[in-house]
Amino acid sequence: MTLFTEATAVAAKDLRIEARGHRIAGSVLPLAGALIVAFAVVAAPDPARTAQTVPALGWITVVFATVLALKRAHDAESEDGALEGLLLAPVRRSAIYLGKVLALAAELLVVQAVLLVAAAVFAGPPSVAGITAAILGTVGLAAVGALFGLMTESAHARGATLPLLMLPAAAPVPVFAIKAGEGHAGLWLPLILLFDAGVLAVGALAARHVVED
Amino acid sequence: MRRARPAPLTGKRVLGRATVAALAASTLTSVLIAPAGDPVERLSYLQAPLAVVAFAGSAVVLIASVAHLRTGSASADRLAAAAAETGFAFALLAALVGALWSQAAEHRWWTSDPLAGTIAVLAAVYGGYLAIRRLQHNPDRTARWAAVAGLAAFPAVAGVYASIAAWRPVTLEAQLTRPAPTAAAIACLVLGTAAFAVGFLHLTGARVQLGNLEERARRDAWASVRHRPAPRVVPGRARPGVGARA
Repeated sequence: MTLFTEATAVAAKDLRIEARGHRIAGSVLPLAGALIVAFAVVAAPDPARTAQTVPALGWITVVFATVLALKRAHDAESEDGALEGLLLAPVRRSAIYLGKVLALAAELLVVQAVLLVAAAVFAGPPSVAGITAAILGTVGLAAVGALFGLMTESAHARGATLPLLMLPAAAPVPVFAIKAGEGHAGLWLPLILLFDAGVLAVGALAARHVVED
Repeated sequence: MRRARPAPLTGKRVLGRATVAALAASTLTSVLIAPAGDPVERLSYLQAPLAVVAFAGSAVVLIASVAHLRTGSASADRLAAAAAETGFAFALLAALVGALWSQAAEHRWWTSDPLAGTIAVLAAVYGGYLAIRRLQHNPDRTARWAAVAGLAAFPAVAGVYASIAAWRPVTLEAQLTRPAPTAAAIACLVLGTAAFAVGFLHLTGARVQLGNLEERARRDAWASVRHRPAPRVVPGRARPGVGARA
């Protein structure tokens, strides 16, 4: 089996759990929707301010959603020693990491799609560069989140530690994506791509040190 | 009465004295020689060198982390931890100086300046790295995870740095209206950076030494526990320390 086949198998397993458990639909999507609506209503008296702030608020919402999705994924995997079963399977550690990235990115892209529709309602339709930046940025966020999610999988203080580790490491993603949506996409989109490639490479190479026992 | 013989000049002492001398020289040149339209601008001769050295510290963490993952060297792990602690202190100092400058110049503690944002992210990255070192009780796993975190943090630091470089064309107009930095200003910045770099080396070296002593103390403690003779138990009598108060 190639690395890609193994990674897609892990991702398919995670997505199957999501399809049966409705973690995203049940908790993450309502949270994302509530946040964006609340922010948009608060900024409603000034349409110009709404248009300026909605992209940033959308990204804050996606980051919150990432933390929540990782927490729910951890809860699902800690039941009945499911993670131990995965580690016993004959798949490479890097494939486990890449599979988690694929699954998390797919889940977050659903959240992004809902948020983009909400943003279009409240602040006008996003540009093509904005949508591309949202997709690439979501992959970067998933790459960072999956790495630290695996790292804190067995830690006692996971709830507090995961955001503490993930948020600074993922800080460039919202900055690059928002700037790409505002203009100068030719400059910011390659930066997001470089960031994604860098984190994915680090994660794939370091996965065996993180997912060891 | 005999005078105490002065302690021999070790590498650590030389570095310590060099740090004090370099910082004094840097402060004096910033105050007396460096050109500044407003006295508050002199803070930039502190902030920029602090930020540069804090960034250089993240490169030290990266290199030491790679070395630890490749070789499993405990020394590399201690160097990464020491550089992260010192770098965190430098990043916080740079943020503090920036806030003071902003307050004096614009009457608010925070301005959306690319350098200020970068320093804040760098301090947060260092904070996360140091948090992970306190996450586990298993020293081997802590070292391994910290090394991975040191690696994963690098794209963030590089990305934020790239964002500064990319931001620059936006503020080009503002840059063009400013006078070009004079040779005296550049010399002061270089001297300041060199002074803080020597300080960084000194503090990191001292922290590594402290880490070595901690490791030795931990090993000695384990050895003493292992070699302690088992308490003699006499049948029919209470074991020493058990039920002594009863």
